[in-house]
Amino acid sequence: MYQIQEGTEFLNDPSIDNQANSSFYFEMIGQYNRTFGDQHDLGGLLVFTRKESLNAIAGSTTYSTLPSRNLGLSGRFTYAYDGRYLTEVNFGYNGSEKFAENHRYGFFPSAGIGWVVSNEAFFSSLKPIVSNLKLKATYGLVGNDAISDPSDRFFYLSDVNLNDGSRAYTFGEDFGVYYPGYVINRYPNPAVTWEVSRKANYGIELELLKSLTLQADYFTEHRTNIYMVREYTPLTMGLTSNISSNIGEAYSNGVDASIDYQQFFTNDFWMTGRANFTYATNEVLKNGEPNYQYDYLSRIGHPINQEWGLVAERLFVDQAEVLNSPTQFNQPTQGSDLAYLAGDIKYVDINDDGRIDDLDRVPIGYPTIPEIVYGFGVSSGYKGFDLSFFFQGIGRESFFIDPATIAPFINERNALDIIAENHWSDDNPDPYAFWPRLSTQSVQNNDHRSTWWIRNGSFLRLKNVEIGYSFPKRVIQRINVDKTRIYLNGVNLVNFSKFKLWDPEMAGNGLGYPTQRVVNVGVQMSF
Amino acid sequence: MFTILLAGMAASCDSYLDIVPDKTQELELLFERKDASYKALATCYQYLPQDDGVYSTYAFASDELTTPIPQETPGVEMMRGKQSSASPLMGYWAGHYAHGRSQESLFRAIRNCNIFIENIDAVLDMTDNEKATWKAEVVFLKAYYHFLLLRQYGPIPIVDRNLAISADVDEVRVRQHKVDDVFAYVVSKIDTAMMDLPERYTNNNDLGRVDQVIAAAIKSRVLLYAASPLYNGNSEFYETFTNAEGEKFFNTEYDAEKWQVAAEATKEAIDMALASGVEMYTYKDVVPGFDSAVYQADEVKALYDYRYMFTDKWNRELIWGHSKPVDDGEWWTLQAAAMMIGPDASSNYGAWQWVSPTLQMAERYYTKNGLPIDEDLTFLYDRRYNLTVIPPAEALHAQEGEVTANLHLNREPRFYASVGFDRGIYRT
Repeated sequence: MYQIQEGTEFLNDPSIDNQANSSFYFEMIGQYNRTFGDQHDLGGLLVFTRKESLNAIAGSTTYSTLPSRNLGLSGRFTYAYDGRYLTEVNFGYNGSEKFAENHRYGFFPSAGIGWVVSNEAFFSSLKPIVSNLKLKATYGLVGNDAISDPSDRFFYLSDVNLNDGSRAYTFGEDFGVYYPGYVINRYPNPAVTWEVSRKANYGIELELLKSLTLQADYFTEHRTNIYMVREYTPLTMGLTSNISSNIGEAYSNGVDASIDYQQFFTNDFWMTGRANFTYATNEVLKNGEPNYQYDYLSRIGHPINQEWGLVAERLFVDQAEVLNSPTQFNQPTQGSDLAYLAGDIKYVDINDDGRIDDLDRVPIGYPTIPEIVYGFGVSSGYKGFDLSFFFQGIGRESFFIDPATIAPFINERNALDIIAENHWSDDNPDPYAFWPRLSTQSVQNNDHRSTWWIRNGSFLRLKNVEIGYSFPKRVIQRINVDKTRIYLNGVNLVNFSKFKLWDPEMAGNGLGYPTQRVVNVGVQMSF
Repeated sequence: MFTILLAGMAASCDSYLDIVPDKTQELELLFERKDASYKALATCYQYLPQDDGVYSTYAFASDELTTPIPQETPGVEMMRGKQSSASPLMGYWAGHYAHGRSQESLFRAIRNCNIFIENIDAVLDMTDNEKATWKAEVVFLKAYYHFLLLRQYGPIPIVDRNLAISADVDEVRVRQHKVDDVFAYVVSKIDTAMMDLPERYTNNNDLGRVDQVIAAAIKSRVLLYAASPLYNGNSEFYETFTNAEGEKFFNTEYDAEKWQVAAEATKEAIDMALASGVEMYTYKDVVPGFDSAVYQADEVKALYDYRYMFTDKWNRELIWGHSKPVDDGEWWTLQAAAMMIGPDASSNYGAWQWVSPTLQMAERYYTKNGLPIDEDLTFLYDRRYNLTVIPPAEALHAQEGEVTANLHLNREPRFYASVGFDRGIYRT
C-alpha cells in the first residue's frame, strides 16, 4: 500500500533507507618515449581521467547523497641528457564538482631538475667509493579540492532549513496560529575554490661502497587558499552560521632522511641496518581569527597543532585562599556541586583582570602531533644464529592527561594507583600533589586544559626484537625437514620516556586499553 | 590525439560537474508564495526576547525580585557580580543561554528583518497592500531590535542594510554609532513603519502582531529614554566614553527640549490608543465564591482590577501582548515560579513559589493612607517586624485571629494584590 503524501515546493532531505555505493573511473593515456642519438632521452605522457564516487548513505542531506566527481587532464614531459642532467615538467588541469562554475578548474604545474654527479667524467676517480651521487630539486603547485566535509560541498549554494521549529512563532488569542521559522545553515559563497600548495623539495641521494645508501630531503610547503572559518566576522553581521572561504595560509618545512646499510662480511656473517628520521614543523601564517584583545591568543606564528591552555600555579591551600583569589570560570566557591574548593587547581590570572577565564589561555607545550619521528634497527646473522631489533621514537610532542576519563569514583570508576597514592587531602595537603581534591562528581574547575595536565610525549621504544637459531641441515635432514628455526621475539619490550605513569602512546587516558607487550616463542619448520 | 582528448573533455565538462538538482532548499523559496513567507515573518518576530522565563528575564537582575533556585538564573548571577566580557550574561549582542533557555543575538534578528524587507516584494500571491503592511511590521521590529540593543549597549552599529557574505575584513568591522544617532534612526524607522501599519489588529488570529497603536507606544517609550537623564546630558558616566576619533558616544549636554518631544509622542500614543478602544482595565469576570460577599467593597474591586490587569489575557488595557509566551506548563515560566504553592495543589501546573520580592520592595509599598511606611505616623514602622494578631478589620487581607508581622497589615491595595505573605489571603 502506498501512501500518497503532499509534495513540497522544494526538495526535502532524503530518507536514507536505500543504501548504495558506486564508483566509476575512466582513464585515457597517451605516452611517448624516445632516445635520440644515445644521449637525448625524451618522454611525454598525457592522462585524462574522469571519476565519480557515490555514497547514498553518506548523510541525511540532499547534498551528501550527490556523487563527487573529478575531471582531470595531466601531463608529464621529461628530458634527460646523457644520464647526467634530468629535467621534468608536469601539469595538472583538474575540475571538481564542488565549486561554482567559474571556479571549477585549477591548473597546477610543477617542474624538477636533477644532476647525477656520479656520472660526470670528473667523478670517475671517486666512483669506487661513491657509487652514486644525485642532486635534485623540484618545485610546483598542488591543488586540493577535498577541503571540507562531503555534506559541506557545494560552496556556491546556500543551505536553508525552511521548516525550523525552534525558530517558530505564534500569533493569535490562544497563541494557536503557528508558523515555523527558517534558518540559514550555510551562506552561498561562489568564490570558494581549490586550495593550493607551493611545494619545493631539495634532495640528495648518496651511495657509498655499494652498501650504504643515504637519502635526504629538505622540503618546504606553502599552503594558500586554505578553506577556513572567517572568525573575524563580528556578531554585528548577524549571521546564523559561520562563513568560510579560502583565506588561510600556512608554511611548513622539514627534513626527511633515511639510511640503509647492507653488508655480507663472509658467507656466515651478514648485517643489514636502516634508520629513518623526519623532522617537520609548521606555522600558521594567516587565518580568519579576530583581532584578539591579547596578543597571546593569536594563533598566527604558532604551529597548527599548538594547544592553548591555562597556566596552573598549584592547588589551593585552603578556603581562605580560594575566596581571596580571582574567581575561576564564574563558579561558586561554596554551597554548590560546582564549587571549587581547597585542593582544586589554582590558575594564573594572565591578563590580570581579576578573573580566570578563556582569555587567560596561552600557548603551552609542543604541538600535539610529534615534530620528530624516527626509527632505527639492525638485523644480523652469524651461522645459524640471527638477531634483529627495531627502535621507534618520537620527539617534540605534548599530550594532556584527560582528568575526565580517569577521575576516580565517577561512574563507579576505580582509582589509578597514582591517584590513590598521591592526591590532595586534609591529611596530605600537598599543593603539588598529582591529583587534586577527590570528589564523587566531576570537578569542572580541574578539567580545564592547563599546564597541570600537560606532559612531554617523547618516547623511544624497542618495538621489535627477535633472536633465532636455525638448525644446521645435517642435523635436521634426518627427520626429513628442510628447515627448522626456533625463535624468541618480543614486541614493545622496553620504553624510554620521561612520562612513567603509563604508556605515552595511550595519551591522555590512563585507563584506556594499553599498548600490549608481547613475547612469542616459536618453532618454524618447512617440509 | 591531443585534440581528441581536449574535445572529449570540453564536451563533457560543463554538464559532468554540474550535479546539483534544482529547487534544493534555497532562501528564494521563502519569497515565492504567501504560505512560505509567513515563515519569514515568524522568524522576524521570534527573536523578541522571552521576558517571561525564569532564565531569560531581567527581573532578577534588579533589587526588586530574587529567587533561591539552585540552578542560578543569569539575573541573580549578574547581581552577584559575575558579569564578564569573556562570557557575558544575558547579552543581546551575542545572545545568551542558560539551563536550556536561550536568546539569539539581536543582530541576527536585524539581519533577518533586512532579508525580509529586501525580498517580500517578490512574493507572487500577495497584494501590494498586504506586502506593505507586512514590510511595515518588519521595519518596526528592526527598529525595536535596534532599540533593545541601544538600551543595553548605548552606542551600537546601525545595520540598515545587510553586508554581503563576500564582504572583506575591513568592511565587516563596522563602527559604533553615537547614541543620539541611534535614537534618531530608531524613531525614523518607527515613523516609516507607522505609515503602512494597520491602525489596530483586532482579528483574534492576528493578536501579537504590530500595529500603529503599538508602534506609537513604543516610539513614546524610545523618546522617553532619549530624554531621561541616563541618555540626556549624562556627563557623570560618559564624559570620557569616546570613539577612536575622540568623539563622545553620548551627548553630555542636557537638552530639555527632548522632554517636550517625548511628551508629544506620548500624547499622540495615548490618543491613538484611546481612539482604537484601549481603556483602563476593570475586572469583569465572575468573582470567586470566597470574595462574592465582599466584592462590592471599593478596595476589593481595586484589588481585582490591579491584579488581573497583569494576568487577564488580551485585556483592553494591554497595548502589545506577547503572543509566544513560554509554553504553557513549562516549569521555567516566571508565572509558575512566582505563584504560591497551594496546600493541596498538584505540581503539574507548577506553582513553584520560587520568586519573591526583596524585603526592600515589600517595604516600598505604601500604607493604607497612601504614604511611605516610614512617613505614616499611624504605621508601626519601628515595630514592623514584630508579630501581632490579625484584627477583624484586616479580614480582607489576612486570616483573622492568626499571627503575622505588622509589616503585612495596614497596607495599600497594590500590596495585597501583588505580594503573598504569611497568614495572608492570596488571590491567584
